[in-house]
Amino acid sequence: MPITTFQGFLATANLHHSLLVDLCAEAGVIGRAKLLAYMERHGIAPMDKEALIQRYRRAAILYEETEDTYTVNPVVAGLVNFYERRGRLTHAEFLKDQIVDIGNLTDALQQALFADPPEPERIADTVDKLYLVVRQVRESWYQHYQACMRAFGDMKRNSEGKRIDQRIEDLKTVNRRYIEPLSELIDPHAEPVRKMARLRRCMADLAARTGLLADSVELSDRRQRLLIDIQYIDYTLIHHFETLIDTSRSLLNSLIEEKTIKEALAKCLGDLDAVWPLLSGGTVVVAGTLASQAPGMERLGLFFNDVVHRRYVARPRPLSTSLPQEARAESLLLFEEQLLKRIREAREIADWPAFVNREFSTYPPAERLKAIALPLVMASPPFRVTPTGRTFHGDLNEFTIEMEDFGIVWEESHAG
Amino acid sequence: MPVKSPEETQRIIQTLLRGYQFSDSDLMRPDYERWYATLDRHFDWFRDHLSLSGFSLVRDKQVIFLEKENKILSQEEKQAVVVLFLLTDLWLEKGKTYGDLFQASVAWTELDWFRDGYGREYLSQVGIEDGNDAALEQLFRRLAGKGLLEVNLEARTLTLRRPAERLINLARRIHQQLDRQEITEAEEGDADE
Repeated sequence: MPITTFQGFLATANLHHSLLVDLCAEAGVIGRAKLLAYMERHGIAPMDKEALIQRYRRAAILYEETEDTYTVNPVVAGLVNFYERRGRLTHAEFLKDQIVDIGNLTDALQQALFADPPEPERIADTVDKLYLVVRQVRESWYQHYQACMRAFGDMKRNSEGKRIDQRIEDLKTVNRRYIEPLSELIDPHAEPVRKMARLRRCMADLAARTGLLADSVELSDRRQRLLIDIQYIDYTLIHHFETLIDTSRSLLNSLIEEKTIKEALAKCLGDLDAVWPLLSGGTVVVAGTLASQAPGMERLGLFFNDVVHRRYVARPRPLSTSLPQEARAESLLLFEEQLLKRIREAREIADWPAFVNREFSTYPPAERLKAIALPLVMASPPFRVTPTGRTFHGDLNEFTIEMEDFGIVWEESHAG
Repeated sequence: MPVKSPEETQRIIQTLLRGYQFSDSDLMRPDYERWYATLDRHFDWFRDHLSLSGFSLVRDKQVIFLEKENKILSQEEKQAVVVLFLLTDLWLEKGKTYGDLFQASVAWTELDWFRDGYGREYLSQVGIEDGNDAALEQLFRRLAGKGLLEVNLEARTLTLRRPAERLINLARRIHQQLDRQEITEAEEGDADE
């Protein structure tokens, strides 16, 4: 087999770029049939397929594991996935171990900070180590996020032809291996989140040592970069992981729903005679007015007339009005003539205010007061006012009055 | 004072009486999108008016339609149920996603499924005999007229719409009912022994 130069490798890798990206997305061994199917999808002519496989093998892009099974060179896969921003799945244990490392380093930093005498070198070294680990966490978490998202996409794209049960199994596997452990990393009550919180507190302690930071440019520089990474993890990555968990859950839900639909359809189709009676209560399709079952045209025409002329009023209510009670003016107002008539009939009234109050007790108080005052304000009255020299006390419900009492004597000569 | 009727009442009622099932799938269809919005907003008004002349307007989530007067299933309804169930079943059987049925265009040529295998048997139960493509095509076009699916005659494709989803969801309810019946029958059987 001729040895391929680096130039040759690059030329080969560049040949079918998108095919290579897809192959690198495959995690395990690739069967020959699958390899050929990938080539088919990327429009490679059948006769060129074998030659291309050989070329990939020569360039050490593909390794032949056994007869008819291949793996992609992990170095190539890593590079392609890195540059294609496809992320890399990280094992959950590794993600957790990194947090444990951070926890241990935080303890060390805490000790160094409060050591007596102070140990600036140890502080600087620990911050440096912390910086490296936190950067690693940031990168691996981000890669993990991208890889999981890609896995969802691949699953959707490659699901064609797979049965629902198989698809549910696949998703459950991905969920168990890569998604489920993430919930522990973002659970506010679990160890990892508490460890990160302790790191933040420790960083605050470090920030308080202004003297120490002023002495070392490198230390303050590292501290700032570390802070940026911690913030990125706190705000962006934690949010990303929540998205992952939600996405996985909703994908699984929709697959399970699909499964129930499929089962229901199969069952119904298999037993149509039992389905009809159960369906007959509802409406599947209405025949419509053009078919024979439709209501007659006269009825429709009448209906349209009524709607168009707005004879129908939604939810009509019977009219109801409460009629006002009829009352005559004479029973509410005391007229001058009425009073004069009474005086003429009586001829002489010894105590006019008390008389009004007694005789007209059904009238409103204001009316009675006007009547009491009438003899005193009337111009040229047909009667004479005779003061009694006593004082009149009267209670007119709304107010009380106190005035000089007087009587009235009718004088016939004035009448007319 | 007469109650002001919503705009285009007559067109909407005519469409309803034609057997059209309005749904939120109409939001992408010219004219219908306006009518659906009016119907949705003034649902009570329409229901009250239609009930005065003996029609009952009902809504099932986003689907609004007139209920059928006589409750006996017509042959057309049976055909619609079998065709929709079969289409969905075969589509899922092919490993395609349920959502695509309502978004992607299903090619007419895929209707080969109906002629092969068990599909043929089910169709003959509702009076669509072997290979009667014309009858199937006519049924699809009729269902499209009722708002259940979208048919593109040029490209020979179809896409299901929300009212079709309502029917497919009915299958789930029926499945549960059938299961319950079987359980009670089995229990009665046990009691007899």
